[in-house]
Amino acid sequence: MTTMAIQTPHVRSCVSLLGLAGLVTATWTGCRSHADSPPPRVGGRAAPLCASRDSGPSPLRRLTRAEYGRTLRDLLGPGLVDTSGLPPDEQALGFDNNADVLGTSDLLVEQTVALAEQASSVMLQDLGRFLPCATTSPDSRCADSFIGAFGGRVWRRPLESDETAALQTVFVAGQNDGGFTEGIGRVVQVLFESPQFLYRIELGNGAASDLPGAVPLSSHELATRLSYLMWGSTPDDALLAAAAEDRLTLPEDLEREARRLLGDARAHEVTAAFHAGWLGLDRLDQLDKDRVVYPAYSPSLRDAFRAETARFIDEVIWNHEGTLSALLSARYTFVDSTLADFYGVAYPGGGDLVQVGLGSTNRAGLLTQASILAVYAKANQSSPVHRGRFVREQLFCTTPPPPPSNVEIRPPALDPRQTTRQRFAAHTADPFCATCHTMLDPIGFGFEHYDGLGHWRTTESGLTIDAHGALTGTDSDGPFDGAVELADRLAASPEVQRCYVTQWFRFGYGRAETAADSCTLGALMDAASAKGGDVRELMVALTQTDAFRYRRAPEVIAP
Amino acid sequence: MIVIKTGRPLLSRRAVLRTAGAAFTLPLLEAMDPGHARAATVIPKRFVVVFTPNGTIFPNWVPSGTETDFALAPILDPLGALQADLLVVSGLFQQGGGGDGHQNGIGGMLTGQSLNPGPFQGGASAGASGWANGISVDQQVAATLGSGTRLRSLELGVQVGAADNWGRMSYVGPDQPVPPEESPERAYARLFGAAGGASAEDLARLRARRRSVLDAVLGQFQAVRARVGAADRVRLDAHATIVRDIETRLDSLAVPSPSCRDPGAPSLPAGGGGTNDDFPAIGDLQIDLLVVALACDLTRVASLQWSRSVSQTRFTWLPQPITDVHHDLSHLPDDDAQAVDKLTRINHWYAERFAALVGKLAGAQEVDGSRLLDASLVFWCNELGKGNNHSRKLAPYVLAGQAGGAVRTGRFLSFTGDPPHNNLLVSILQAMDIPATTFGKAEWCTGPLSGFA
Repeated sequence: MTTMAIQTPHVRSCVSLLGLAGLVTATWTGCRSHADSPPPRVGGRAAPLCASRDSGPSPLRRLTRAEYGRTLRDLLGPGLVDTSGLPPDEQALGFDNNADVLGTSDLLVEQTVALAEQASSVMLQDLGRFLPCATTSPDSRCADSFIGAFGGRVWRRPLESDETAALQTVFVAGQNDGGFTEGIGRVVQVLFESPQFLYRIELGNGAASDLPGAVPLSSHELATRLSYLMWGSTPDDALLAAAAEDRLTLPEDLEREARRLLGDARAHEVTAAFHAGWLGLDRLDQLDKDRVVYPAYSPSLRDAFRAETARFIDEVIWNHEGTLSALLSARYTFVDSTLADFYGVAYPGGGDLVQVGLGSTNRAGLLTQASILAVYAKANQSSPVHRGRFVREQLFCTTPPPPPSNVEIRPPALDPRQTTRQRFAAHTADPFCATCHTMLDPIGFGFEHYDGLGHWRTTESGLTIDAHGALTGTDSDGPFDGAVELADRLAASPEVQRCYVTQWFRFGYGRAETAADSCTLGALMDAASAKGGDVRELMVALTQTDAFRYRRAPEVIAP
Repeated sequence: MIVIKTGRPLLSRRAVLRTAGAAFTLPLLEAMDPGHARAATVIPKRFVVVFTPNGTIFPNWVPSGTETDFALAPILDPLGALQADLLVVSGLFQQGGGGDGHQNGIGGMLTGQSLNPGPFQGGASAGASGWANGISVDQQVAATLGSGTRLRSLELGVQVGAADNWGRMSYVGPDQPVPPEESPERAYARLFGAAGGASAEDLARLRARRRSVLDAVLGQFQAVRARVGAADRVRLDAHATIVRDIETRLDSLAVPSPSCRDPGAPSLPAGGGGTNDDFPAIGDLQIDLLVVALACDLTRVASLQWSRSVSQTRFTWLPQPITDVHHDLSHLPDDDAQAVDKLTRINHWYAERFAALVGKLAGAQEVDGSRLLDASLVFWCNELGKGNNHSRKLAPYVLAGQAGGAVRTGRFLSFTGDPPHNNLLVSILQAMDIPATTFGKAEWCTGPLSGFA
């Protein structure tokens, strides 16, 4: 094939390993100023100054695919409706529940129609379980009662009289066409296809507001916020009962119910979903390694990585220390026999995943688990850039600018005479590259004892690994040697703790933080630090803020 | 156990069981009815978009020669047999704004718009960006061509990945991206339904039930919208519009071509098709579904999105396997002969897939004996011209098909002076009989592309 020479614009060249989808992007111009004066970070170095109380924005939230699935499970029973056909939810800032970008499409609406029909069909096959009347000849009174009871469960609040009337009309039309079950089936479909189910409509409770520009939410609206925050699912009967008695508007009411919900297994699904989004663990689904370089890799090994991290997170939060600090620096993890070999620990036997100490393994906490090490690496080598960037972005909540659009990203060829660190020397040798890469690479070098699969190594290309690194521009600056030392440093950093709180804000409220949220964020950070960084206490604190208890006053619409 | 008087069953037991899966589309009884096929006299126009990522190697892509007497370069070589059906367009410039090169490349490629503000962290100087600020050309075509078909349009993807603005090209309006279906299995279910055993009478009842339900649902949207603020109302209205559209389409009648056939459920590669090496197999299945959807007149507008901008695909299945990540390769300099060769072979492979799709459309027959391709227009585009500097100049556009005589093919249009690619989008609309004189951002458009018609 012939290659013609064509005129090329002036192009700078930096050796780099950046390249994960969504990470590589435009210009470099921000870096110099970035390095000189870090941009304001609401969740960053200092706790935000609380200017004036504010609910922050209140974009309309629709049920995500995961929330929809859990909700159907909790309303109908497990395993009855297959929600995998819903299109994937739009992702922003790592989470797939950001209300500002969640869309509606033909595919989504078609699926909600099909799923409503499926739900209706499932219910009709076992109608006795759902009908409020035990009668041998169900009549319209039974239907009315069903509409009120089941409708209230699905829409998460008592129906208004006009809503009841509309559903009664649906029932009668269906009954005329196909009998009682046909009428009930259609009511079920309407309930599941309506905005009152698919969206979290919030109108406020109509009471006078003590918060300018915001309205307090009703008890039922708060019940919905609570259950989707704590369970990622619909309120249970007890929560709806509390709402019916209007016992949810005070902070202490919310705290009591939040603690009750945290006692349920469903809360574990939420902590799993949060950490998967925060750490980018869904990238494990697309993980692929070069089998020549890493013959040990297989999809089942990847599944073991995933299972280890999920179990570790769950155990730390629910059965052990319960803190971010422990997530980052715990000297234990959970292994099966494959992972035990991988990490070089003795497998004690006795089950799939068993707790082991990490004392002798040069590992501590999440950042040295193979799942994260393998995700933040290339297919055939480690990646100090990706690992450094991960720490900056996800743990310090700073966003280093991606390479400029006119820079060549030249993945350094594997060189049998050099270590990865040596191959990356160009970043710091070239002042153009160094402005940004000094923010990334010195952190990433700390992980060089772990190859692209997460295996421990003491040499590379026959040369001794140098895993010295440095943190700069943080509250924990200074040199360190290796990832365990880095993990301990991060675990003790108030700035990392504040970033973690900010991540929970984004996930818990389904939106990015704004300048208007300074008081809410400050209160959350205070609460987290007062409770010793306990994750469950942070979840409770999320229910106590102005952002949670109020919504921004809806814009008036001209008649 | 209670006994319930059910009256007349809506569906036979068998049909109810067959609808247990969450399948949306009702079966194609009348579409498959040969009586309908014979009755069809007007051949519908069809529009297809094909996207491939990360720019091209222009010197190995651009044809040489004149408008009507040209030779294809190595990348487009697989299209040789179809050259008389091609309109190759080079030299256009896709303007952009908001986000980074890839983001506004894919977001503006079909919309001719910039990106709105949003939370997708891309370029540093541009900061974060959001969705594109307008409708895309395929959806604009669908608004007209798709009014009577079962689906307004069909978006298919091949390992597209995360739902963010690096992975969305199609929009029904500002901030309203259209997600592609990445699973051939689900795409098949969407096209051909699951109530296979239902009788015509059953289906009529299903349709009546769905209509009555959707009516009531629309009533609820009306009631709720009256009580919420302006921002919430915009979102609810977007949803209600789709519900209304679905209801309208319950009565759609297909004008299937004689090549229409139910292809049967696709057989996925072992493991489900999610790995890098399954990329070609998934792509082939999606191509087949796209062609049959058009042939059966289930829709008249479709798109096929290969991966996403910043694609990480590794072309390990080529005769000389390429283990490097496509996007990494696309950043290497022009004087890296190895990289140029690999990128040429990657784009050559995509050209083979494009040739396969166009070839199938050429092989499918209309009722009057003409080719499906004759009334179709297929638009192959890329979010960039050049990968290593993210330039959207010299964007590599290939069109195929005559759009029912509106497009003269067998031509190569080479522009100088970087005319805006929005002009091409206008010409596409005109070829599809949509009377547009401008499209996308007004200042990026000066009218239809000269020499196109």
